[in-house]
Amino acid sequence: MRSRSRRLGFIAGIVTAILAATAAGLNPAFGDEAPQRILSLNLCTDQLVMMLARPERIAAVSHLARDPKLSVLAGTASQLPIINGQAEEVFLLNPDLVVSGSYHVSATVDILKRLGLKVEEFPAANSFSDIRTNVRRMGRLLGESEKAEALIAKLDARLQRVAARRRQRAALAALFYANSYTSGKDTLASEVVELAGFDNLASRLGLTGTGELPLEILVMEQPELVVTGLSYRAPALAQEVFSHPALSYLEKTSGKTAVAENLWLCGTPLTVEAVEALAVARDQLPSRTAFAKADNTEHPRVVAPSMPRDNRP
Amino acid sequence: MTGGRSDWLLLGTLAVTLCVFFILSLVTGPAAISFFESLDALFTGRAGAASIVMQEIRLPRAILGVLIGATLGLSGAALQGYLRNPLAEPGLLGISASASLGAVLAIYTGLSALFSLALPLMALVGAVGAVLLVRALAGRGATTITLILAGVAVTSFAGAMTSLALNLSPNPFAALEIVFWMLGSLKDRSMTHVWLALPFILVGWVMLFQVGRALDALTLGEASAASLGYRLDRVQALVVFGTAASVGAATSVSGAIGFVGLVVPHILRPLVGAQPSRLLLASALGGAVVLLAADVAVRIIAPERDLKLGVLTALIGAPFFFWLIYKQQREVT
Repeated sequence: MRSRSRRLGFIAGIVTAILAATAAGLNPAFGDEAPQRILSLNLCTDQLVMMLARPERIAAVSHLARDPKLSVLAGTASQLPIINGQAEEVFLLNPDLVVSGSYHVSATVDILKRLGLKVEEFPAANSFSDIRTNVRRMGRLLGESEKAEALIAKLDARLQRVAARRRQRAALAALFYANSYTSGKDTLASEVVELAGFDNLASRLGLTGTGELPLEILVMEQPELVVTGLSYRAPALAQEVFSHPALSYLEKTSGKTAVAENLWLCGTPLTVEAVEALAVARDQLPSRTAFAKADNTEHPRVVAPSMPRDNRP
Repeated sequence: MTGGRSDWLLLGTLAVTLCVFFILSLVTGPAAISFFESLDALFTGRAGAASIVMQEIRLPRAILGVLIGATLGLSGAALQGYLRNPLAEPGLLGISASASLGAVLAIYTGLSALFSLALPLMALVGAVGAVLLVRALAGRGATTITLILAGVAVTSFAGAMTSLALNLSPNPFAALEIVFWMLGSLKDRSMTHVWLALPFILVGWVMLFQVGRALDALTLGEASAASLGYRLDRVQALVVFGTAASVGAATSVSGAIGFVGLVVPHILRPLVGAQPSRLLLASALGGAVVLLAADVAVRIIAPERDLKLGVLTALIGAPFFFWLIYKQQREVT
C-alpha cells in the first residue's frame, strides 16, 4: 500500500511539473525572451552561467560547483540550489534552459531533450579561443551578450598585459600533477604555460592531451619550473610522488610552483589568472646561465618510449 | 642432510639468475640511459640527474623487488610446509589482503603521516589477524578445502573493507588506488619505502628460516615431530609472526601481489627432494627472481600504462592454480 501511494505521489509530482512546464511555455513573458530558470549540469557550464546570469535566474548548478578545489565560484554556488544530474531531478526543477558539457552522460541529456526541454551542450575549452567561443555562445543564450563581450575584452586585455612583458626566451616548464600526470599539446593548461612565457615539457616530448610524465623523465629533463596542482589534505598514494626524494632533488635546481586546478580545469575568463601567476613565476626564475649545471654537457639524451621527441628548431 | 652438492648447484643457479634480473631491473625504465652510463651513474653519483634516477628511483625499485619476491617465495614455502598443504600461500590465505587493509587504514587516516612506522605495523596487525582468523575458521588439522575456503572468506572481507575505506576517503584519488592495493606495483617507490619495510622483512626472514628442521619433522606428522623434541607452539608462533612481519611489511609498500608464494615453492620442490628445510632458501631466491622478472616485464610490455604486478603474476599463477586443483582432484578420486 505504502509503495503505491508513494508511486502515486511521484506521478502526481511529474504531472504537476509537466503542467508547470507547459504553463511556462505558454506564458508570453518567457517565449523567445532570455531564460529565467537556467539549469547547468556541468562544472564548466556552471561557472559560465554564474559569471553571466544573476543568481535569481539560476535554477540550479551541479554539486561540483560548490567544491572550491574545482570551481572558482564555489562561494556563489553555495547560495544556489544544486543537483546531482539525474534527469528526474532536472525535470522537477522546471528549467527553461539546460546547459551541459557535451561529454555529459548522454542518456540524461537524451531524456531531457525527449521531454521537450531546451538543452544546449558546450564542448570543453582546450584553448583560450575555445573559452571566447563558449563565453560568447553562453552570453547569446542567456541574453547577456554585452556582459559576455565585456568579460572577453577584459580577458584579452589581461592576456595582452602578460604578453607585453614576456621575455624573449621561453623557459622550460613541466606540468606535474598527482599520479605523475601532465598535459601536452591541445590542452588548455599547455596554452596557459606557453602564454606565460614557457615551453611545455610534455608538448615538447610529443604528448597530446593528458597523459603520464614518468618521474624519471622529469628528473632527466630538468625543467626550469615544475608546476604542480594543489594537493588534497586527505592523503592518497597519488600525491606521494610530490614527496619522492628524486623530486626534492629536482627542487634544488628547478623552481616549483603550484597552480590551483580550479583555474584551468574548466576554461573560463578567470583562467587568465593562471597565466598571470605563472608569468610571475617566470619573472622570478634566474636566467639560464645560472642554471647551467656542471653535468649539463654530459647530460644523456632522454627519449620516452611513449612520447617520441619531435624535431625542434 | 642429503643432496648437498645438487643443492649448491640449484642455489648457485638461482643466485646468478637473481643477479641478472637485478641488473636488468636497474637498466629498464622510461629514461633512456645506456647500460654502462646507468651503472656508472649508480655507483659514482657524478652524472647528476642520471645518478638521481638510478639511485633514487630504479635502485629502490629493484631492491624492493628482491625483498618482496623473496618474502613471498619464502613465506609460501614455510606455510606449505607448516600447514602441510600445497595450496597454502599468503595471497590465497588472505594474509596479503588483510595486510593491505591494515596499510590502507594507516595511510588514508593520516596515521602513517604522523608516525611512519604505523604503516608496516598496521599491515603486520592485519596479517597476524588473517593468519589467526584462518586458523580459527579452518580448525586444527584442516583439510585443503576448508583452509582455502577460510582464506577466500578472509580475502573477500578484507578486500571489501579496503574498498570501503578508500571510497570513504575525501580524496578523490583514493578510490582509484583500490587497484594498487589489490594487484600491487613497485612504481615510483623510494628508499624511504625500503628503509621502512626492511627491518620487518629481515625479522620475518630470520623467524621463518629457523623453522626448517621442524618442518622436516612435521612431514612425519605432528605427533612424531613433537616426539622428536620440536615444540609445536613455538614453531607455530615463528611461522605466524615471521609470515606476518615479512608479508605485512612487503604488502604495505607494494600492495598485495598474488601467486608468487604458490607457484615458486611448487616448481622448486621436486628439485630439493621435497624436503621443506631445503626448500626455504631456494624458494626465497626463486620468488625474488620471479618478482623481478615480472617487474621488468610490466615496464617493457606497457611502459606508459602502469600495468600492475599482480596482473602479470596472475597470468602465470592462475593457470598453474587450475592445474594444481586438477591434479588434486585426480589424486582424490
